[in-house]
Amino acid sequence: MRRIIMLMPKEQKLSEGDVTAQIEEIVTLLDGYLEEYPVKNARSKHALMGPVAKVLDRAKAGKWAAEPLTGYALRMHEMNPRSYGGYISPTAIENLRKGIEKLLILCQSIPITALATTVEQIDYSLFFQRRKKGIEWLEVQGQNLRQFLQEKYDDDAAFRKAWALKRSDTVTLDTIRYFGSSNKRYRDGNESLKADMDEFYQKMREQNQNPDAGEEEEEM
Amino acid sequence: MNYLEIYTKATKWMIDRNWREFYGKRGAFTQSLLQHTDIELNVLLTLLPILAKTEHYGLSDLEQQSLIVGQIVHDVGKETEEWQRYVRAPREQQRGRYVAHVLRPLTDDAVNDLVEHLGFSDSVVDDAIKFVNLHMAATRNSTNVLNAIIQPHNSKRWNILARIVATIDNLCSVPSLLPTLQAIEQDKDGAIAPHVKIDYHLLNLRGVSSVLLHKAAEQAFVDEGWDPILYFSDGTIYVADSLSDGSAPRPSEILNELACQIEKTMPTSGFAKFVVGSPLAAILPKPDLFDHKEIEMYLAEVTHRIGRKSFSKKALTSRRKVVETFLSSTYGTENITDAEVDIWSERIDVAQPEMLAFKFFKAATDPDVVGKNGAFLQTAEVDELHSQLSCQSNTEKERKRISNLIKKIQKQAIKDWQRQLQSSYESVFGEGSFGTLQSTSTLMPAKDMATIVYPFWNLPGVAFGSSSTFMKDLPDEDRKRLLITKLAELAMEAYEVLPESARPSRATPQEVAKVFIEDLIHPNELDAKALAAQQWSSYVVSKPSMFRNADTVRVCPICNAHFSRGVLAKADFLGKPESHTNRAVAHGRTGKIVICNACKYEIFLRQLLLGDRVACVLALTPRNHIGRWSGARLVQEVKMFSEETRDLMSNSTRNPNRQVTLALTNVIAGKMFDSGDGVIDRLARAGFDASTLLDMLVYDMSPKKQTEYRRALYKALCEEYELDKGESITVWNEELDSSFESIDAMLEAIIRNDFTNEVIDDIRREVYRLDPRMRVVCQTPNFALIPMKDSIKVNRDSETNAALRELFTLLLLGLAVDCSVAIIDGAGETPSFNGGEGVALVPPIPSIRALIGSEWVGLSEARTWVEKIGAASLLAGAALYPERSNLYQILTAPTPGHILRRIEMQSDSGYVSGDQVRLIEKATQSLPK
Repeated sequence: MRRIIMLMPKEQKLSEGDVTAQIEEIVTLLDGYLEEYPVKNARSKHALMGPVAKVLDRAKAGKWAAEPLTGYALRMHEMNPRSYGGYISPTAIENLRKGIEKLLILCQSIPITALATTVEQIDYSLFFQRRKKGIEWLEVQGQNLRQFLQEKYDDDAAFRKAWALKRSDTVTLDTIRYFGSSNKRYRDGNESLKADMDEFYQKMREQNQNPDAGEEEEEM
Repeated sequence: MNYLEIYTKATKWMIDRNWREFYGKRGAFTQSLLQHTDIELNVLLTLLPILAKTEHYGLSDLEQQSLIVGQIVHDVGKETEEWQRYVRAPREQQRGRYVAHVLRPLTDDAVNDLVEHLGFSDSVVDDAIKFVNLHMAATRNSTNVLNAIIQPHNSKRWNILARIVATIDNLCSVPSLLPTLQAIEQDKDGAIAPHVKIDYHLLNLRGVSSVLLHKAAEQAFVDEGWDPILYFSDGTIYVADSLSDGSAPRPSEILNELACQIEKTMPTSGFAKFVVGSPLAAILPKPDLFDHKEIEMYLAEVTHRIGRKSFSKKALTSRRKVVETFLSSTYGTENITDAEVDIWSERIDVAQPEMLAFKFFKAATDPDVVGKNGAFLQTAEVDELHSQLSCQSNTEKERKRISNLIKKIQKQAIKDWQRQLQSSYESVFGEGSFGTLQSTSTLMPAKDMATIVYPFWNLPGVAFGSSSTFMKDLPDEDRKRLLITKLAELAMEAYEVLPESARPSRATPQEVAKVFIEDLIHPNELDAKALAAQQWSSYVVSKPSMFRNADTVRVCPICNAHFSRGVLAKADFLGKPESHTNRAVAHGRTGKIVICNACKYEIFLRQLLLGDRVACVLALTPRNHIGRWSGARLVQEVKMFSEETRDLMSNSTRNPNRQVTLALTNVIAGKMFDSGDGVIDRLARAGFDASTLLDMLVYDMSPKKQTEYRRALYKALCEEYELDKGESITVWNEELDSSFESIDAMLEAIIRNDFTNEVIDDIRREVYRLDPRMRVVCQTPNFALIPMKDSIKVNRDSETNAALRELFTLLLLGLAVDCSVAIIDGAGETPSFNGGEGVALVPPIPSIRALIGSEWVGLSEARTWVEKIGAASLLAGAALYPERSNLYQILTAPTPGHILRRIEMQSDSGYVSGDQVRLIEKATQSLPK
């Protein structure tokens, strides 16, 4: 007699709650690694995510083990011209390795149909974490800059005159946002603007802040 | 003792301990710890004056104080995190993991703290602690009782007092009214029941009428010496001293009281706009509101129901068709020029209001309308036949014969009356004119012009008391006025032939009350078995008769009550009378539903209260029940909100640029978030008072809009006073008898309501739409309704988006006044509130129910959903998702990163502010576990 072909539903290895917890763990680890990635603030998601974007793509495709994938990511990191001579701290390497390990384990334990969604969730959750930190950093610097300029100028009129702002530019002492030295406003600014900003950048450096960490934050 | 002061201080103490955010009850019904304790305090404060009497317990002040403290603190153990986690867990997880809520150290601290807060003597502490420790059967074990005996006490009767606390706790922990009564009965030999008499009123919830019926029943009970003790959505429990000799009021007393309430609520004038219907549908859709004495007013109103240029605005081809039909039937003319079409179009435009006046006259003299009060049956012969008909000994055949005879007499009476009307009508409008009028139907310009208006225009003016040769020679307004007067005269002449009591008149409050009193279940002389049998037999035969407008037994498709004579629903008062109903035969015939008289009057009442058609109704009711003191405060707050809203929305406002909104979620949320997290915290922890709630719902129009409205006002003034826009202020001052320095000053004064007259008043009202868009109907704490003219949605909202806005509004109201809130569409059924509700009923849209995960938003999730929907509405503008579904898209985004990226991609600069990031986090936050 012919044997009956039975289609048995594959038992899911992880519950929804487990997957969410693992995603959170992976995001925390990869975020810990990206803390040391030279690009802290960028409008481009590609730039902000650094090697992690490539790691996620490869993890989704399968066939990669944790060690080679970590190596691949590290090499990408080192090749970035802004990576301070290619130095990466052991903590960051450890975070990256653990994150990738957990990511590959998760990818193997979830159904193939849920793979793309899960990786996308990790991708955007991590992106949100990074972007949020960048925006918060810009906000703090913006606040400091406003305070710095308010101490320097009595009112908006004096400030606008000193910086020779155009009529179409409605920025005031209360609304000005932080910008780096590669920003168009700095490049096109007059001597007074550049002098004020240089002084502010210097203050930032004294507080161990990199003034150009948010340099891609272009103001239109 | 000053109970009100104690109650106010105690409430503050409970709010400060954050009891509103803790569960007090969860299971059969849900209550916050604040609400649960508050109800018990209310019940105790209502009972204390009775129990303190010397005929009963003769309680001393200290005993009363210890009872109050014990009652408030009895569930203090529920504020612990362990107990809250336990009560929130699913039932299967609770099993075997019981967490006690009588915790000695916590009780001691709380009692001492409360005693100090209320300014009571320290000597009440010991007894109050005992009451807390012994309020549960599980903790009333021998160890605790012995402890209580050994420990010091203030009152020797501490045991009986502890039983009072326990009994009140038990009574207030029962869902809905009837089980609560049952619990009281079971306590027959207990600490409270022997000292008090209990009665109740119970009704079927319908809507505005239920609010009035609740009030009428409560008033009747109070008049008999009863005090309300617990309010439920569908009834109230009353209490009286067991030694008093008052009894429950009779249904007839409640009926009279209800009639008074209806009389007070119904407007005394302004019925014309409700009596007169649409020119394109039923011109007299509500004969019940028709009063023959106001016929001239109705005729004047109907002539305003069509725009002066409504015909000229139509396309030339359609106008040509009408004009050619008219001219060929009148003069036999064909092939007319475009210029001629334009000339005749103008004439038809002028004639249209007159056509409507004729049509309304026809409807107002229809035998069905005229005979609604039995005008054609008031003869001695019919009376005799009726008495024969009621005789029991008659056979079925005999009865049928008598009925047919009555019908025959009625038919003859109608014929005689119509003949008389015809003769007087034709004496004015010419022979055959009455038959022509009867042959017309809804507005058909070509036919109506040819057969009614044109012949009227060619009549000599003398017939209408005018010196003009022909009516057509008169100015349009004069001719219209003369026509209205004449038609009113003819109608009145015809009505006066009928017996005075039977002339068509508006349903009286007493008649309406008789219909609504059927909703009263107790105290009413209802035979429950007969009622059930009647309901059952009606249901059996109901489905095939759903669309038949004949006297036949059936159930109402709206309220399920059985009835035999109803009314065919019209679009004028019921949104979609032809929409699907599962009370009719599946795949059977369709048509307009027939509704019962109670539903009909309910809808009329809503319209009369609001002054317009009702788009939706918000229903507010306490979660399960509410006590007397808190109930009074709730009614006071709701009434205050109502008055303040009405002031803002009416013509008396000094700032018409300030508007009230329930639909602009982003405006309301913006205000809440701008004021910091403190506002939302306050909303969740203590609710809002009327003025804070209104502050949240009020907004100032944008400067651009303000300029638009100001321009519209100026334009309307110029049109009304027939002055050019560039006219100088001197001319305006002469016209208005004023002394303004400039046009701007004049407009400003009119906008601020500093300068007004009757004409300006009307213009201001019309331009700024200063008529209340909502009305709050609240008489007792049982049930409050807010009928609204507009539904809660903005321009292009899909059903899903609109449902999210509705939910946000419901949650805001529910949290603000701490009750359950639901939305009922225009004339839909009232949801039944059984006591198991949360804060807001999720609108019945499948995607929204799936998103929320339940039918009601519970207490613990309410705040989170307010934040989530509010944040989504504030992000909608930046995220630029399609306007139809922007809120839903944001709330269902897989991660916060998706929304952030979307905003970056949609913005030119790619800039996302820190505030937006925080809003994204709020919109995507998880619900509390």
